[in-house]
Amino acid sequence: MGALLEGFGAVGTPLVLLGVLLGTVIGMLIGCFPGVGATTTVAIASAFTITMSPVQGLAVLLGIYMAACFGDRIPAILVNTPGTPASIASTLDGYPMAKQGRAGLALGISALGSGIGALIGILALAVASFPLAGIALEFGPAEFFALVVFALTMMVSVAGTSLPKGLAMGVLGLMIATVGFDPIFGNTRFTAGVPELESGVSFIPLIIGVFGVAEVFDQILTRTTVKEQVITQLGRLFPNRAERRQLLRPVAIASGVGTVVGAMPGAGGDIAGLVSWDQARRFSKHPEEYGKGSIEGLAAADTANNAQVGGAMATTLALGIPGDSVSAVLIGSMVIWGIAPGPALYSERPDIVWTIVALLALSTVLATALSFARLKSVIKLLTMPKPLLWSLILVFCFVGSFAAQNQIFDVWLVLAAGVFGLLMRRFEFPAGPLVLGLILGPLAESNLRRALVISDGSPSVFFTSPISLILLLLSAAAVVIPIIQRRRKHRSLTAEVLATGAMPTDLSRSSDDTGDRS
Amino acid sequence: MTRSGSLETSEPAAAGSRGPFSDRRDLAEGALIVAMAVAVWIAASALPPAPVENELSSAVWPKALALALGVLGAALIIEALRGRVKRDETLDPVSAGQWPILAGTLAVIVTFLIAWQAVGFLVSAIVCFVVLSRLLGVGNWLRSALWGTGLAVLMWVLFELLLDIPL
Repeated sequence: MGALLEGFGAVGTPLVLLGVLLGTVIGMLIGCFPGVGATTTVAIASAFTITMSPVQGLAVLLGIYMAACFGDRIPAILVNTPGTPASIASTLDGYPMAKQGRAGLALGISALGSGIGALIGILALAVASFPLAGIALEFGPAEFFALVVFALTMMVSVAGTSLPKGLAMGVLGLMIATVGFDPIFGNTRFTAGVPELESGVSFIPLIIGVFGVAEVFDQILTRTTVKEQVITQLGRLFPNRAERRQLLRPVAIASGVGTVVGAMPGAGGDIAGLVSWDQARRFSKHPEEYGKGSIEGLAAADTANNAQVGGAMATTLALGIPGDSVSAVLIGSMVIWGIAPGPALYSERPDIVWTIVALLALSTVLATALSFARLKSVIKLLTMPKPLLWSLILVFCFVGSFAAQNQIFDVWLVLAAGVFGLLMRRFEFPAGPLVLGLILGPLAESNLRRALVISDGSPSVFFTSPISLILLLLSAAAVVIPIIQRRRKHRSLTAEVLATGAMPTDLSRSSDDTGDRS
Repeated sequence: MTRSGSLETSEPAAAGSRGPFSDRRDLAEGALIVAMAVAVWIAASALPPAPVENELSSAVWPKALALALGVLGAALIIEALRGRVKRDETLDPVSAGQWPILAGTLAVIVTFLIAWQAVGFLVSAIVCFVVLSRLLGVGNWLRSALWGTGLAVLMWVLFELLLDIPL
C-alpha cells in the first residue's frame, strides 16, 4: 500500500502534470500524421527528456505513447489512411461510416472505445504484472535466455513477414548489440577503432534512423500527386442509448483480446485491432455489417488498439521484454534513468510501477477529453502539405538525436540508420525484430554465458529446466507451424489445379491473405 | 505493382506473377546474409581468449549468432530457389523522378552535418534547411526561405535557450 501511495503521489506535482499534458498533446498530433509513429516520437522525445527527472520524463513519454493510440484513428476514419499501423483495423468500418455521413459518430465511438480499452488494459497491468514478476523472479539464466528466444520467434511469427528475413533481422539486432565492451571481461568488440562505439551502438539514434528517417525517405520515394480527400462534415459525436447497448459486447471482447495480444512480445496494436475485429464479428448478431460501417467493428478495433498498451507494459515492466517497439524505446530510456525493467523492479522500486500506472491512466483521461475538444483544428492539420511535414520530421530527428549525448557521431548514426532502414523497407526486411534483438542482446548474452558456466558448458541446462524447455518448444512451434501451414496451403492449391485444371492466381506465392499487414 | 524490384518505378504486373528478377533478388539477399555471417565469424575469431579458465570467451556469442545468421541466409536461398519467399503486399511503388530528390536530400543532410562542425549550428542550419525545404517541394524559394529559417531558429531557441543544450 505504501508503494501504491508513493507511486501515485509522485504524479501529483505541477511539473509532472505538465509533462503528461505535453506528452498527450504531442501524442495526439503525432498519431494524426500517417507515417510519423509513436516509436519515432518517443525516441526523439527520449533525447529531449534525458535531463529531466525519471518521473517527469516518463510523464512525457507515456503521454505520447498513450495519446498516439488515440490520434491515429482520426486519419483512419476521415482519410482512410491509418495514422499508425495500429489503426489499420479502424479503416475497415470507420471510413465507411464517414462516407455514410456518420464521421462524427465514428470519431466519438472510437474515442470512447479507446478510453475504455486503455483503462482496462491499465487495470490488467496493475493487477497481473505483479504476479507475473513474482513468477519471473524464479527465473534463472537459462530461463531468461529461453524467454529472449521466445520473444524473438514470437515477434517474427506474429508479424507474418518472411520467416528467414524476420529472424535474420532479429539475429542482426543481437549482433549489433555485441559492439562495444564485453559485458563480462571488458575487452572491446567490433569497434573498428572508433571510440564512440566502445560503449556500444547508441540505441536512440538507431531507432530514430530506422523508424523515423527511413519512413520519411520512403515517403519521398513513393510520393504521389494524388491529394487525399479529408471528410470534414462530422455530424453528432455521441452514441445514443441503443448504440451504447450494442457496443457493450464488442468493447468487452476487444478489451480482453487487446490486452492479451499486447502482452505478447512484438504483437502491437495492428495485430490487436485486427484480431479483435475478427473475434467481435464472430460473436456479433449482425456480422454481415462488419466492414461496411458497423459501429461494433469500429469499437472493437479501437478498443483493442488501446487495451494492448496495458498488456505491452505488463510484459515490459515485469519481464524486461518489450511488448512492442515503443516499449523497447521506453526500456532504453528507463535504463538511462537507472530504472531497470524486469522482475527486480517490483521488489526494489514498486512505487515506479504504480507511478507508471497512474501516468497512463491520467494520459488516457486527457486523451479521451481531447478527442472531443479541438477536433476541427486537428482535422485541419490533416491537410498539412507533406513537404512541410517531411522537413519538420527530418530536422527534429537529426537535431534531436544530438541532444542525448551531445556528440555529432550520433547524428551520423541516424543518417546511416536511416539509409539502412530505407533499404530494409524496400527489400522487405522487418525493422521490429532488429529493435527487439538490439534491446535484448545484452540480456541474451549475459544469461547464456552464465547458464553455460553454471552447467560447466553443457547445453542440457536449457532442456532440464521445465520453464526453459517449454519456452524453447513454443519458440520452435512458432517457427515450424507457419512452415507446415504454408506447405499444406501449397499442397491444397496444387490439388485444386489437378482437380479443376484451372491455374489459381497465387500458386507460386507463399504470402497469406492475412497477417502481412503488420 | 511490380514485385520484380522494389527499387524500380512501378509498372503493372500480371496477377500472381513473381518475375525471375524477384527470385534472383531473394537469392542475392540470402547470399549477402551468408557473407555477413562469414565476416562476423572471421572477425570474432580475432577476439582474445577468455582470461579465466572454464569461462566462455567473448567470441562465443558472436560466433553463435554468425552460425544462426548463416543458417537463416541458407534458408532464404532455399526459399528463393523454390520461389516461396513471403511478400509484403502493402509496399508502395517508387514514384518516377523521386530518386534524384532523395539523393539531393541526402547530399543536403551530409553537407549540413559537415558544415555544423565547421561554422556552427545556426548558419549551417539556416542555409541547409532552406535548400532542403525547396528540394522537398515547399512552395517557391521565398516560402522555403521562411520555412527553413523558421525551423533553424525554432531548433536553436528550443535547445540553446529552453533546454540549455548547446548545439
